Amino acid sequence: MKPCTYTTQFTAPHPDQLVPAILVQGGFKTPEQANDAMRRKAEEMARRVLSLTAPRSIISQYPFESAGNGVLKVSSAVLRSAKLYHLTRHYESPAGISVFLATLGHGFDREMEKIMEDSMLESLFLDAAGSVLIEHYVGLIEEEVKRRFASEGLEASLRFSPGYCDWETGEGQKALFSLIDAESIGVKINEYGMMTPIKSVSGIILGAGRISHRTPCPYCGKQDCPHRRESRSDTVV
Amino acid sequence: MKKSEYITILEKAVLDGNEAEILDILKKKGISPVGEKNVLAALSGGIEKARLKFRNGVISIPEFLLCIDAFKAGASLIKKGVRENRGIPVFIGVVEGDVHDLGKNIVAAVLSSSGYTVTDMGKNVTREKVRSCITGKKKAVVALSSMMSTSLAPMKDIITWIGETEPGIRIIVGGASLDHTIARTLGAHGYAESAVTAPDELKRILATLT
Repeated sequence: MKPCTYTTQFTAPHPDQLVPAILVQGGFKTPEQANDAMRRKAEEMARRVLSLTAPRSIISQYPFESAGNGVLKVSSAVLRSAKLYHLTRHYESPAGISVFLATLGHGFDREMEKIMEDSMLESLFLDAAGSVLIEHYVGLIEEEVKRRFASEGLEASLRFSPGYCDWETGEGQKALFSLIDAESIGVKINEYGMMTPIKSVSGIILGAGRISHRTPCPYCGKQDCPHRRESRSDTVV
Repeated sequence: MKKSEYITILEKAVLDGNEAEILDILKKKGISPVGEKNVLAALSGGIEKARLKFRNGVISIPEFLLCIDAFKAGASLIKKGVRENRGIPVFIGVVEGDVHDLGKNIVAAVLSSSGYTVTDMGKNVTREKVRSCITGKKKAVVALSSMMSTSLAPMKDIITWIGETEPGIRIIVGGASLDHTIARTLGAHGYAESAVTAPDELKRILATLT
């Protein structure tokens, strides 16, 4: 697999599509629990987040080099996660790793600063809208990475980000930022690995000839983990 | 309208999150019939009722924040001097390294509307920033938050420094990277599991101040 760098075009969803997720992200157990006034406020924040953000992304694809002793090696970087390492040991012919970074841009941060002075409810919903929108964008990126892997005869894992499972945030972010030109899309990290603009998401997606499970969850004993994800049920662990 | 009736209506308007009604009452009837302190107490009374409803699962966080916004609208008509001299000062901030401040802002708003004099230290708060805020204060609370485990080391540093040099300061912590055990290990006096429990925890730790 040849290294390459590209971007995924952002396609804006209709504001109404964001509303149910904003309401749940904002604190309602279900979207139906919200009354009309709350729903209108969520709609307003959905429109606002779409009007003020300029989402950008960068994806760098690398050949899979080696995995051992609980780490994955990608070019000059070391990704330290025993669970991801364990997952790749079950993959047939691991061949590629795509490192991605997406951001809503600084406009969102500026609006959050302003809105917090005026209304706590609006700031909660705008923050939720930002989270929902960046997840939407990362979903588009995941689909594109999957398509590109498929064109090379590879299956794709789900995405993984530093801070989840046993992948430490600070060290993980620094490793990923050494593999992508984050500044080209205006994203920076501080010494603790925190990204700005605040609605930015980084991570990796693995590609292999045959993927038994798309996440390490089936191999993990932490049954009450809130981030547990569906893996794949058509194969036996 | 009787004084008690006026206060009851204000309290209910906060509980309903009805900002327009609060502004209408305070602008039309004025504040002087009951006095600024009583108006503020009524607004805080509404918040306390809303907080209990939220704690008991009757309302959700967005509905609770609607009440907070209603409180803020009413309180903005009260003189700053009255608003900002209500009990022990609380200095709140997000610890160095973290950039997430929505949770901190919500807690600050809840504490402020619950009757505390809250000063927002902002985000990326260092030990120096805390020192500059609490120097000269005999009694105060420092409230520190962190969403990320990466900020626990700087948080520990601030807590240790306060413990060694400022015996009259109480420390309460909160955020996604913490729990009761971690808070205790860091040396904090209290741990706020959520914005809604922060006033209860604050009350508990202040009772240990003589």
